[in-house]
Amino acid sequence: MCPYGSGTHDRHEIHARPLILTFIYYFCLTSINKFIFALYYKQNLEAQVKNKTFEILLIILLIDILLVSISFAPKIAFSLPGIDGLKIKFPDYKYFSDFSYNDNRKTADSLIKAYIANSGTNNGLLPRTSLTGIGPKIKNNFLTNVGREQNFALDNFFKSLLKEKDSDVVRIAHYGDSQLEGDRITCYVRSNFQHKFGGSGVGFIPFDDIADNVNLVRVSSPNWIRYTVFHNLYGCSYYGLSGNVYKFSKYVNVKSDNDTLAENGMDPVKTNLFTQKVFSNATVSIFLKPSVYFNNAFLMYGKSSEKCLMNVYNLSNDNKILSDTLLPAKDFEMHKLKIPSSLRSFKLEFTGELSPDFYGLLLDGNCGVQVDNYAIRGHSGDGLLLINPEYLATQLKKLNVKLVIFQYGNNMVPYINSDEKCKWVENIFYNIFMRFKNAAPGISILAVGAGDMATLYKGTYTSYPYIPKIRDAQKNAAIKAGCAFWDLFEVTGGANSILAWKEKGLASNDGHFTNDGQKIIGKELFNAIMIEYNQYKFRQRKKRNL
Amino acid sequence: MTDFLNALTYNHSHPLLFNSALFLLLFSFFYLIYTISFSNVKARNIMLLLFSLYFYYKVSGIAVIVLLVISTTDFFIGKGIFYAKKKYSRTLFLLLSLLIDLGCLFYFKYTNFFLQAWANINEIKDPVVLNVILPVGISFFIFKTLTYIFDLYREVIIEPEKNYFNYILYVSFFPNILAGPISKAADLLPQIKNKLKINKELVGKGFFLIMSGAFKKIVIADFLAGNFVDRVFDAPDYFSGFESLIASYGYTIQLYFDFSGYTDIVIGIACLLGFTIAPNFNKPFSSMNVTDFWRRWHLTLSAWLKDYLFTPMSLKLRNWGSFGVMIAVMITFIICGFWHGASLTFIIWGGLHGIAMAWDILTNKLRNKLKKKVNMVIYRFISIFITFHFLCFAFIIFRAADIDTAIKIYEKIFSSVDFKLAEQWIHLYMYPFLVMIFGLILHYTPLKWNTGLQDKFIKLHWSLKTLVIFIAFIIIYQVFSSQSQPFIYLEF
Repeated sequence: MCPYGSGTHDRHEIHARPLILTFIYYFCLTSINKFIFALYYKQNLEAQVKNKTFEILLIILLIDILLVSISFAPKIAFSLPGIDGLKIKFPDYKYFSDFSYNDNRKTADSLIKAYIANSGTNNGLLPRTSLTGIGPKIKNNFLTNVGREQNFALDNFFKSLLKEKDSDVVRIAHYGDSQLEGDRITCYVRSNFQHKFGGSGVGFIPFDDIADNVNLVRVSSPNWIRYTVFHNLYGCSYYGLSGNVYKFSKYVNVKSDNDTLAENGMDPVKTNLFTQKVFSNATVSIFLKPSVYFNNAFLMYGKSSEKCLMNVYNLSNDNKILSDTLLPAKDFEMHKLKIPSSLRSFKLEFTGELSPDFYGLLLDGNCGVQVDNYAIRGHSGDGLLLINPEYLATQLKKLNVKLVIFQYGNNMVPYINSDEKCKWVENIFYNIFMRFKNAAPGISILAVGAGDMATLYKGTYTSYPYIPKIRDAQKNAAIKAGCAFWDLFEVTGGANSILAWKEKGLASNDGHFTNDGQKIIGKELFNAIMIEYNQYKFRQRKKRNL
Repeated sequence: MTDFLNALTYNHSHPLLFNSALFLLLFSFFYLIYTISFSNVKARNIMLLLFSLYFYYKVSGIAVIVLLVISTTDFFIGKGIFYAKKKYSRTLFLLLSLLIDLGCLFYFKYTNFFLQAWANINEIKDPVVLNVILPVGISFFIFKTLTYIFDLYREVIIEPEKNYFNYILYVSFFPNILAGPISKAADLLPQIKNKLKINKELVGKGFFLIMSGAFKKIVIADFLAGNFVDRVFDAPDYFSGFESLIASYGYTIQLYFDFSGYTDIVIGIACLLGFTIAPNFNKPFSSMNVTDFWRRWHLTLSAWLKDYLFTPMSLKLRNWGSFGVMIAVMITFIICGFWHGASLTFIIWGGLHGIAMAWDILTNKLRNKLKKKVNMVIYRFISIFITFHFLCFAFIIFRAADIDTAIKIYEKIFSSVDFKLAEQWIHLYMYPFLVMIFGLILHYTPLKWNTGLQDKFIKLHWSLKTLVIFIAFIIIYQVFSSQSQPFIYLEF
């Protein structure tokens, strides 16, 4: 049953069956009533009327009749001054005649059970990803790795995993929206990868973000301005790979200092000077959580016309441990920070007349795999097309990104309600995938489809009906662009599965995963990639034997 | 047709709700038969019993057997208490009833909680979890049947119910079996046994309460839950301190309108059946302290706890003076919290209320002195303000899925509330904000406005009543059928 029936049906959809059924129902109801009264209770009729039960019955039946009758009426639209398109909705006839259940909980329940059982056995071993005893027969239920016999979508990434040198860090860029912000889900993907392939550090750390980061506590001075591809108010296309640019300002509007952290793009210099506070420098303080270790730290920045002084302080004793100058640059720069890896908390301090374009920090290991979290809340990925293609290529190359995971779609779900819009979704994602493919032909791309999410409708939570079509659009785009696709919607169990996840404390109805849910999703995503990795290795072995 | 027949059977994921089309359909049929049988008490009660048992089966499936077993045993134990000549045999019967009723309650509701607690204490990694199906409303109907046993034991009820079916009907009476109000046997059983009279006032009151209840529940409570509150409590990581604070207000308002709306519907349906059920709420957010709050919130539960737990306990501890009263209060409220749910969060919530009540007892004299010195309007305003904030604070742990979630929300509220976000929040969450304000206004409107409106509705001719109900339904349906607002991001 489409939960939007009342919103879309018109007179053409009215079938004879419910009409006849309704007529029969009420005819029977009233006839039986009259018949019984006439036969057995005539003598009590007076008492019934006196007792008003008859009046109640009459009101109930009249309400029933009115509701059933009105359910065949079309929507009434009218306008009020200032508010257009107000529509009065009436119950759909299906509301009274459709009693079918569309329940997917069983699938979701059994999947969750399997995931939890799988995560319970993780004591350093990954049973589903062990290279021995599995072979190529294990198929991915939810991951489609397109390609032909010798060249599959994820092969480039697997190739680099095998070829990695001791000095190489193979990077995975994990793009997403609020599902991922603050390193959610990504942190679990990373820990699984680093556990298997080595590596340390948390990868990309933005200078400021709306969400708290799960690995660290970050305190930024209020004179940082964050520009994102989501709002695109930066003015040029030299965004960082994360889709962000950070610039510091000497002036901050005191009354709305927090607004500078929002992507409002307003240059505080241009706002009312009388309420502004002057800053001599800009700082970012990082307090790492005990579980975080790193070997190397890099500062990522780009376009800058003037030099900028940088000091690094050890926050445990406030000693200056590094003083450096960032020279004017025309291109993407990765500036290595010579700071000890034992540092648990530090402060970066920048002083200069004009701010360079900062992109963030990298805390990496010496080798192995690094997974960078590039999340912007509310984003659907389309903003990434605003990054200058050459600049994108440069960054992907310099950072040695070998796999890009795009986990978008849920922000589109509430607004996609037609096949035309699904086509639009397909085009958008195809363009994004191709932009990255063209920028770095040697990388692999894995698209993660929109997950299940529910909305409150007629008193119950129901999945948005267009999610499967949005997922199909994303999948089509991925296959067309030669990318792999992981079906998150089916991973959770399909339509209405999010309700089961919510019931078990793993997600909220609108599709956001709790910490336990993120852990499962992170692990299942990793496992899905590893099954493909096993198959890749098996193919390689077979090739060698031939 | 198969779908319809399936819909008539129990489905765990689709219980029968008062606001469903299926209930409207079933109730219409039922009322037709009820009307016919109304003047004959036996026939009426049989119809009512059958529908009540079916209603409970539709909601809780096979657990209807638990309901029948508990009520059957208490029916006979009641007789035992009455006919037992000696005090100790009466007490033995009482203990037997407590053993069966509380044993069932503990087994069905608390087994896994205790197994988990045991596993935590002994650091067992994979605790045994029993697949126990919780009968819906078990806490309510066990309290209901216990009132009968306690009242017989204390001789508040002079003689036991003779008719087995009447007693089963008392326990399973469908309007209030799921979530109260907890009717006492002394109130409901006489109504079951006697002829009922449905006058114009009862008809009007019944329909009016159903309308106002549906409005409170759907337009205010469900809207707030679906569009803001649930999101914050389900995944607090995604929200700021300011949003968490607003969600705590929102949840307090939501809970009140949800529960009082539901209770209005229950009382309204009972009125249409000719029964009178005690009210459960009396403007709880006008309370000047927590003691006052419990005189206005979930009245039937607080009366139950007072009559059967607090009063006997404080009598036993009366030698300890106010310290004894405080102990009794603490125990009562910890049990009250635990009764609400098998989780540590509920116990803490009960404990918080117990502490607040103990504080009220301790500071009573001081506050009375203060009252005389301070302007009464200011005193009243400050008292209501503080009490309301305490309630919101305590309801956070009541609503949170677990202690960790509650701590996260508390941390956010006490460490990072930025009131500068208010403007942005109101802009983005305009409708939930307006509904919250509207809810508060509705709550604080004088009671006589409501009764005035109700009286006017009662006086209407039945045809006009029908029209008003229909219009109310269409208004409520606009909110009921609208989708919840998509996730909105506050950019702080």
